[in-house]
Amino acid sequence: MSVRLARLLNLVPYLVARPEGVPIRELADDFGVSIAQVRADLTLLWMCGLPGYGPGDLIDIAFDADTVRVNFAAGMDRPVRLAGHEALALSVALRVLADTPGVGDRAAIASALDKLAAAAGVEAAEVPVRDTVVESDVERYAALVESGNAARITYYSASRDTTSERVIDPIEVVAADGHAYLRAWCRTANEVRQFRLDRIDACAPIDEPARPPAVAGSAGRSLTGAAEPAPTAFLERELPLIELRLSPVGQAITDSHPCEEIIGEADGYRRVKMRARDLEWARRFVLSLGGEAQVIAPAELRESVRSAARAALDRYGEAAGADGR
Amino acid sequence: MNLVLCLLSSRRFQTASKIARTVPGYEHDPDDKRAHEAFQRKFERDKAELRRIGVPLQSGTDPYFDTEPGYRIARSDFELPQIEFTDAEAAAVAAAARLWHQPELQSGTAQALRKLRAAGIDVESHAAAFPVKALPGTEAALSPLLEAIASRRAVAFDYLGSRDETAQRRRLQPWGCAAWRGRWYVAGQDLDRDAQRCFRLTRITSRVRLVGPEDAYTIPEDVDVLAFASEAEAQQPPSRARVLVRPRAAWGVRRRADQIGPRRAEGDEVCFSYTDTPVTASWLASFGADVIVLEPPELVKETVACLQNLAEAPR
Repeated sequence: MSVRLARLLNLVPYLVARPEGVPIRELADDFGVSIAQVRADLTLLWMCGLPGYGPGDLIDIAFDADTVRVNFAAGMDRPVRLAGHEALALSVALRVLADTPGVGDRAAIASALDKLAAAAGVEAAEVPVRDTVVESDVERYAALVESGNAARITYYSASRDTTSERVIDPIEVVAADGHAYLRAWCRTANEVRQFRLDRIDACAPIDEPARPPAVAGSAGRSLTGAAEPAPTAFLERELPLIELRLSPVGQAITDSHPCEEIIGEADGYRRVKMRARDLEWARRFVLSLGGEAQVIAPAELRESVRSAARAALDRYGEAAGADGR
Repeated sequence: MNLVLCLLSSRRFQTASKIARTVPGYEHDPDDKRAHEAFQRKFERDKAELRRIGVPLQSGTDPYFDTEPGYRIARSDFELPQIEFTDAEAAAVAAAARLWHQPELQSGTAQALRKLRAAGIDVESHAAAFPVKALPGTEAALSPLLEAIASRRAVAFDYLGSRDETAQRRRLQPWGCAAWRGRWYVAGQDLDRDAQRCFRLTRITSRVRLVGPEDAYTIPEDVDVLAFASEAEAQQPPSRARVLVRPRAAWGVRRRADQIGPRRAEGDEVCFSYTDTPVTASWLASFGADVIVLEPPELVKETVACLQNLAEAPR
């Protein structure tokens, strides 16, 4: 209901701002609803108007061919001011952007913030933002991207627990979940990888231009605001599917790891299905959750987690036994 | 919709009974008790909905005409002011609108963009000009906290402090939120401890519930949540961990070491500093039998507890 009222309140000023008229298809697309819904909304608006509700008091909207225009708006010339929570959601996001190193035009962000504050009905709460990422050397990697050179890096891979040297073609620096990542074509892996800056142990530019092969699928996102997956995301159909049962504490991982299915359970637990790079990665991943995740499937993973934990406990047992002697 | 137009059309306060007489959808017989109560419930619901959308309802009494209180909408407060963005500003707003993953914040930005579009400003068409490069951290708790701060309501949530073994229920009058070093914090008055406290949002383990009435407290002037956050983190002196690492294994632990050795047959002794016991323990547990924690005792205990959970996890 409230969604529809919000849409109705926007529809009239939208048409007022476009006196030349708008094709109904475009209207439906812009409001994210079907053409039938737009027609129903317009019909409802016809019956709205000023007290008296005579022919001259009602909102008058005309269709000609397939174009919609408004003749009488009954005083609804402008949309409603931004509600407090709307202005806040936008302004906090702008502050995050402004604080993230390497994110473009700061002056534009600051002036957009001022204009939004003026457009909000209520005084928005201040939500300060400082240091959106832990890494302090973001500018250095932004400069590397800017330089257009390829680079040789020593990188620690937490999921494999190994350090390796590789040649990369830097693409951009991305901030996500409190960390900064260097997105680059990895010539060793032959694919685009995200390197977390605090795991790059050494980095030296090489005298060779970066030539990342054109990567498909990075552009063209919908208007609904669906964001790009975090760099921690890696979602490929052919990867093994694992099923976990997460405690309320363990559920934080669903924010940074894409899940194919999340089912809530009565006791606050959740069952999730997600893709793992491989079962070795999954074993480390589940172990790092310290018992906040139980493996439901595959059985092989469940067993490998258990036996790894048991082996470790055995060593603690031996150490305790040795002390006791 | 008619209620908005009616209240917008007059500078005078409109009483509820007059609104009931004039606005379609509210007609009823005011002498019929049940019908009148139904009207009042509907009217209250509609008012709440309008406020949620951002329509500023004023209430007051017109001294010359009425005795019962009435409502009006002041056009200057109601309408989105004239606003224009440069291309760069529009691109920034479009990029910002895509930042959130969390549904309430996402819908907040989507609604804001729809209002801007209704005013003839289409920021989305500039989106391509601005590289989307930033995504904030975990924010599930952020939206209810911001709502609570705006309405001055208390909140309740379960919180797992860095020294806690299990999450504790906390009640807080939140004053403000801030992001610092990639993490979100909320500061406020802890109602159970009767003291100012700062909480890290990632450690909130439950849903944040708003409790109690609106305007239950005032936020002190000049609250500096960033200072709270940095102080809260600084208060925890780092501890030293000593662990035994199997030869040529657990490179992640070795990387973090500031001291390696002595080397023994069963592994190398490695020392490093840490502040957060549960996080460090579950990280060390993830190396399985390759890492055995030697010191301090609370880290040993916590790591063993993690391993026991992992080894004995029931179906």
